[in-house]
Amino acid sequence: MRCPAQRSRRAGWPPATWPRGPSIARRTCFGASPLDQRPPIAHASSRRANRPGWTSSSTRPRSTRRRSRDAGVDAGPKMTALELDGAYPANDYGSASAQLQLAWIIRAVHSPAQLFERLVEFFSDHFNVPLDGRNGSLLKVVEDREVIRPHAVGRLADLLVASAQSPAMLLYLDNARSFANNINENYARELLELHTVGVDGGYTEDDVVATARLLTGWTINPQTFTFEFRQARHDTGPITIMGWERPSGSDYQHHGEQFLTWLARREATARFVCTKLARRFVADRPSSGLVDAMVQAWSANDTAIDPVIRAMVGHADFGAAVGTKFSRPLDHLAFALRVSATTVGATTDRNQLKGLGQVLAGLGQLPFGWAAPNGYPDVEGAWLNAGALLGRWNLVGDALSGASPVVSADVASLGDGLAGGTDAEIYDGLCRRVIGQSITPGGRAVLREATGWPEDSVPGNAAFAAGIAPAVLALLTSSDAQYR
Amino acid sequence: MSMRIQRRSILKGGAAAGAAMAVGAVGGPAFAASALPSVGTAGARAGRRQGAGRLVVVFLRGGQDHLSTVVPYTDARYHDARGDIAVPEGSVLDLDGRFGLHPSLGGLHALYDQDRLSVVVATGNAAGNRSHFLAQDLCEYGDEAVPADGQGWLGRHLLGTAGESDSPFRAMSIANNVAASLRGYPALGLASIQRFGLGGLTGATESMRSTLDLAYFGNGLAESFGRQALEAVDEVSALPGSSQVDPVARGFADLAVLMEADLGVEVATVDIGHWDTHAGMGAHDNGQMADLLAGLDGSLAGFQADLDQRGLTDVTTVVMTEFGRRVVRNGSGGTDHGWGSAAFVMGGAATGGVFGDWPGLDPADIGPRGDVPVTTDHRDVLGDVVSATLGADPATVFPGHAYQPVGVA
Repeated sequence: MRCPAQRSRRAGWPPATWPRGPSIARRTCFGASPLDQRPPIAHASSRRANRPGWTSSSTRPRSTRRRSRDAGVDAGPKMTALELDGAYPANDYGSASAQLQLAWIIRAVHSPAQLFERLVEFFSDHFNVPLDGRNGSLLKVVEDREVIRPHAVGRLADLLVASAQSPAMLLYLDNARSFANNINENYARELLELHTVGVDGGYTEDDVVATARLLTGWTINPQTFTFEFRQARHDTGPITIMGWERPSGSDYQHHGEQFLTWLARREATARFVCTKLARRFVADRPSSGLVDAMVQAWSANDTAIDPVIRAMVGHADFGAAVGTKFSRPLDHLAFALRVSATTVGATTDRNQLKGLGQVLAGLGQLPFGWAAPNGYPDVEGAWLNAGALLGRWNLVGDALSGASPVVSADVASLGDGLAGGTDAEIYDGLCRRVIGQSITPGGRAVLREATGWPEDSVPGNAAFAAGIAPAVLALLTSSDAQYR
Repeated sequence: MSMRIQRRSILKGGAAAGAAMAVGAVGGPAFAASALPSVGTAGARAGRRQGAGRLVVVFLRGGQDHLSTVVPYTDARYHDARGDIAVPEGSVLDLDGRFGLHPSLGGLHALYDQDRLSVVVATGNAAGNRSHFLAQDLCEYGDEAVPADGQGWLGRHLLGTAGESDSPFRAMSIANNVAASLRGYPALGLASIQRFGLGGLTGATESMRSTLDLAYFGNGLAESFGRQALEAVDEVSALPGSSQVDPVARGFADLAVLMEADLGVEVATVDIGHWDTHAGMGAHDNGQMADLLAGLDGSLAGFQADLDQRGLTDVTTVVMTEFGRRVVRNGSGGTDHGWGSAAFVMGGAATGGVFGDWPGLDPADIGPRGDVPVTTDHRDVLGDVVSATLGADPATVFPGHAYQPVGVA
């Protein structure tokens, strides 16, 4: 089992001069970790956010120089579709899927480029293709690496074209079998409704059919499982979609790419995608002021994502919203693992992968596990219910208690530097490390119940050591910990 | 079986007011906690409302094809339109001489013969909509648009009658997350009885009951749901849960157990996916549609048999989908998004028979894109069902809709 290189914890973490840092880190990152070599985005001041290239340092994956540190981070099978097809015989593709899901967790927990991983997650949802069936799963492994990750902080226009030409998407939404005089509307409809202008974006049923016609012949090469434009199956006739007209000439594949770029540049697309970004990163109902600022950045930068994120993080709403959004299950899992200095290791061992799957089964959300093309919902009403809370309490308990050999927690390390203090001081220290704020009297009562330490005492070494894990678990299962 | 801990004595032990662990933490719910009925609080539970039946709503996600399920087999236009994916006349399970069920639906057909299955043709949303997500929303909110208060049609009924029961099991979704039709009411998401306990795989949380009781004291929305979870695990821990791997089979098996246990279950929702058959529907006796329908038949008829065996005669199941599919087969051997769909009411209050006006499949009837129209609004089918099973007034459950009885229940 390969683990990312162990990094030593920074002394005195978190710094006293780092107000709300751990909380804001649950927005731009998956949470702050004592293993971070430098603080994640701590001060989302507009001054800092407007510095050119600011998000690039947290959004671009590290260069190859850092490969040794990132060894465990860039996890997941690296094979081409053809190689995967050979490596995973007919019914045995489950471990390829599981490796991609494990890679998601490793990246969320260990990647230094946290904001980048957040954006990969967002666009994986936005252009949702689930791990479903053999061909779908193997092609999704390739899509994650070759489509979403290379474009998640580029221009949306480029990501859109890459998604439209992705074999995984061509298969999932049936465009690979849409041909002239025998069109299949599935992809064309979801392209307009879910990926670009949205259901109120002003397209008609005729536009759906026209879009499907324009993209006929965009299919999958049956030998290499890569994108192929098959002109013989393409509808070359005149096409008008929402006022866009097919240009003259016979560069038919390029016509489709031009349309997609035109679509990406539409204000309706900007508004639709920026609203979703704001919902993911800021609030269930983002303000129009925030979305307007993001749309402006989108249009001024020809659909580039980086300026849009900067505009979002630099907006006053961003900081004000911290602590108010109910986290999704995977948000919560990644946060719990990061904050508890847990190491997640890559493995190809089928039994370990299956075991991890069983641990995650009660979570209610698996990476790339949403069957419909709209991706996982992102509002509180979709996720907050009694059964879901129970599931995540148990999951965090399991994850930190060695339920899976690929997940090894070091919960005791959260108590570093706190031994010798009073019970109240220890509670406060732990609360600041996990939740990011000082503890309340009510919170102290909960931790007292969890640890059994007498009130107003200095726990002895043995009692201290025994109480850290229950205290951390109590903090991670609290209602405060469920909000980011 | 865990001991029920007296929550009050722990509170007396010294917890200060307020639930927040951390200073400055904001619980930020979308709507005020005071809007919720108190569910699962200590004190005698009112139990199920007297004389009311119980309702299960099964939602087929993706747009189930009407014409493959409830087949207008005497219409030559059907066979022409569907070609090699049509169900041949000789293969249907006849209902009333006009329609037959797909041959995979033998269990449901047997229930029909016993007058325990109502079949509705050409039903759906009043306004056609080819978006899965908007069409599902319209079904689940029971309205022409998503309402501002975000209440689902079942949520509306439950909220309006909230004083009559405070069982945490009154409304449930057999899933990790709660269906939109229940929004507005604190429904319980329970995917599996076996996993619905405090402890997980390692037992790490088993001993956390008292800690969680303290942590989830307070008025916030999360606190309220946390308490509901802790209340519910006690009741569920003694029940025999299913070990089946298939989530749908397991869900129905667990639901029957929950219905039989005296927990106060009134309404439950179940989702079944994979109905978005854009391609490769296959022949009537071999392929995707035949398999999907065989699975559905096994689930529904199996569930009814389970209820019958347990003597649960007051449970009615309604089966619906967000839209049906186009009349004409597409270029990939499948069908695209349509409009009119079929619905079923099974067991309990179902009257039995075929209901709804069938417009026929003439070009003039199916429009330029070839849709089965809707001649019976979903809300009339559901209106029949909620008044017969829950004693609800359809005008309250579907405000703004003029209810017209169909007769399915």
